[in-house]
Amino acid sequence: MTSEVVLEARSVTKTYPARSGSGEVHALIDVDLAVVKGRTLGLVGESGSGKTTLTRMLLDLERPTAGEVLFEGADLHRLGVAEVRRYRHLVGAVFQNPYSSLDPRMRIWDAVTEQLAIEGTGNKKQRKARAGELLEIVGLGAARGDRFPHQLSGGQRQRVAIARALAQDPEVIILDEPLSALDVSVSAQIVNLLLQLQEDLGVTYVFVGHDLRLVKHLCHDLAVMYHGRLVELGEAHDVLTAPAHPYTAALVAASELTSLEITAEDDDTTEAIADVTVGCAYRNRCPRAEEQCATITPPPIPAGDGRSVRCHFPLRAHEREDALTPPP
Amino acid sequence: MAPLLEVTGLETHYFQGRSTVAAVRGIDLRIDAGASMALVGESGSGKSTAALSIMRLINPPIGKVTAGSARLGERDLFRLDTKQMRSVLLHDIGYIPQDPTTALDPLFTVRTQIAEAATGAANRREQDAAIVALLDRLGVNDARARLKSYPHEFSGGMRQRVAIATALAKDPRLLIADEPTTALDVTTQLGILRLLDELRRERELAVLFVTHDLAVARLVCQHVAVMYGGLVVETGPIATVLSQARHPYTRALLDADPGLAEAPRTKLRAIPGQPPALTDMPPGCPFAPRCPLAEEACTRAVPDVTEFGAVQVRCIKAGEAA
Repeated sequence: MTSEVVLEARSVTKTYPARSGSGEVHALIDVDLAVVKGRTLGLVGESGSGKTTLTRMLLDLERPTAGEVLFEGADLHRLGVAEVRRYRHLVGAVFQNPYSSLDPRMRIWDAVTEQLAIEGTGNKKQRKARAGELLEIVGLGAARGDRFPHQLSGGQRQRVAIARALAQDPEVIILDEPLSALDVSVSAQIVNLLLQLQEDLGVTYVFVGHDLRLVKHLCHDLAVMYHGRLVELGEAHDVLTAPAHPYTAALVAASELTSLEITAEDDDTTEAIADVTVGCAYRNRCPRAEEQCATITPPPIPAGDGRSVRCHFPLRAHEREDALTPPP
Repeated sequence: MAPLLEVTGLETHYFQGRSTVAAVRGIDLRIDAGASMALVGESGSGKSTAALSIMRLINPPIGKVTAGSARLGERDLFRLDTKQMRSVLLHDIGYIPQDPTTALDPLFTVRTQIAEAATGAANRREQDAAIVALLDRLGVNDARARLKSYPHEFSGGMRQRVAIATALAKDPRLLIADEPTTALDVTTQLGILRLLDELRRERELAVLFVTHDLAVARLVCQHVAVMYGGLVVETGPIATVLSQARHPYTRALLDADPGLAEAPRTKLRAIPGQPPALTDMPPGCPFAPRCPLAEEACTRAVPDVTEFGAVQVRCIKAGEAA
C-alpha cells in the first residue's frame, strides 16, 4: 500500500504560560503524527490530553512552540501566499457544537454560499445552485435553505456544518467531536453520512472523539493521547481490541461499560505530577510503573503491526486481550 | 411494600406565549428504597422535565405540572405547601446535575457549600469531620486540606464528587441524578458510577437516574423507563427490556449502537428522521413517523399500555415482537 501523507506533525510541542503567572503548561510534547490520504485518523484521550490543541495546530489556528506542521511535505509557516490559499482550501473543519459555529442571523443558504464565495466559486447564481447540491448531498434538501439555524434540529445543524466544510472541496476534514452534542438516534445518521462522503469523495478525516465505540467504527488509524503526549499509535481496530499502553487499556476497559469492578485509577484519585516533561505522565495511575518511569521519558517503540507505544513496560501480545476482560 | 417514590399520571406543560406545550404527557414511575431506575431518552423526550417536576422545580412562568401525583414515602409532594416542600428538598431528595459547575457557587468554598446541606451536626468541628469523612468516601484525596478550596480549583470529576457530596450530606432517601457522568471522561465516569452504585446499596437509596446512554443505565440500574415524546414507551426490569426490547423505538436505539455494526465502516442502522418537537407532537404514537412497523391506527391515538409480564409497553404492535 502506498500511503500519501497529507498533513503531518513533526516533534510538535506547544506550551502556554501557566495561569498562575510562573512557569509553563505543556499542552503538547514532542508529537509526531501523519494523516494519510483517504483514511480516517482518530484522536482520543481525556480532557486536557492535547487532542484539541493538536487539531488547532493542524488547522493552523495556532503555531507550535517547537517542531513543525507539514502540509503536503512543506512547513505550514514557510508557505507562500498561493500555497496558504491552497492549504486553507483543502483542509476544512467541523466542530462539536453546530449551533455556535453557525451565525444565528444567517439563513442556511447564506451560510453555505458565503463559504463558496470565500472559495471564489462562480457567480451568485452558480453558488446558489452549488449550495443546493451540497444541501442535497448532506441529506438536508434544498427546501430547508431558507431557514435559520434555530429552526433546525441539532442533527440538521451538524449537516449544515458538514455542507459548509464540503463547499471548499477539501481533501481533509478535521472533525472535532462532531457527534457529541447529538442524540443517539441522530448520531448514527451523521456517522453514515460521513462514511458515505468518504466513499464517494475520498475525503480524509481526522476524528476527535470520546465514544470509543464510534471511534472504533469510523477510524482506520488511532492516536491515543495522554497529558500532551501521543502514547500509542496504530490501526484503530488493533489498538482498541488489544491495547499495548497501560493507559489505552484502562481507557478501553472503562469505556466498554461491562462491569463496575474495573478499577482504573483516574486523575482525581492519584497524585498530580508536577513536571509532565520528565518520565511518563501516566506513572501515578499505572499498575505497571517502576522507578525508571519517573526519570526516563519512554521513547516511542515499535510494538508490531505498525504499532508504536511510548511505554517502558507495554502489555505483551498475550496480555493485551486479557486486560479488557473484567474480573469474574 | 409500597415504593419509596410513586409517580402517577404526571403531566407537565411549558408555557409558550399564551398557549402551553406538553413536555411530559402522563407517566408512571415506581422506585423502591435501595433500587435504581433509569429514565432513558433523547433530548426533548421529557426525561429531565419529569425529574424536575417531581422536585416541583417547574413553576410559572416557565411551566407547570398539570396533572398527576408524586408520593415520596407517606407524603404527596404536589399537595405540600411551599415550606413543607422546601423541607423535603432540604432533607429527603438529593439532586446531582449534569454539569457540576453550574450547581456549585463559585464564590463559596467547598466546605460552605456542603455544610449548607449537612444540617445534622451539633457544632462546626463535628460538621467538618462529617464532611471530610464524606469527601474521603467519595475518593477525594486529602479532603481536609481541600475544604477551603473553591470549585474552580477542582477538575470536572472532582467537582462532580463535590456536587455528589452536597446531595448526600443531607442523608436523603431519594437521589435524582440527571446525566451525572455525561460531562466526564470515561475513566472518571466509571469511578463515579461505581460510587453511586455503592452509595445506593449502603444507604438504601432510591435512585432516579436520568440518562441518554443505555450502556450506562445497564451498569447501574435494575429498572428502566424509556421515554419518547413525553411518554414512557417501555418500562420494566432493565435486563429484560434490553434483551427482549418490545417497543420499536427501544429496539431501534439498540440497533443503532455502533458496537453492533457488522464490520468497521459499514453503515449503521440509523433511525430515519428526528424526534418530534414539543410544539409539533403527532396525534397518535409519537414514534409513528419514524417507525418501520407503523400503520394507520398508530397515527390516530396514543397507544394504551400493554403488559408482558413485568414489562409494560405503549405500542399496538408490541405483541408481535420479541
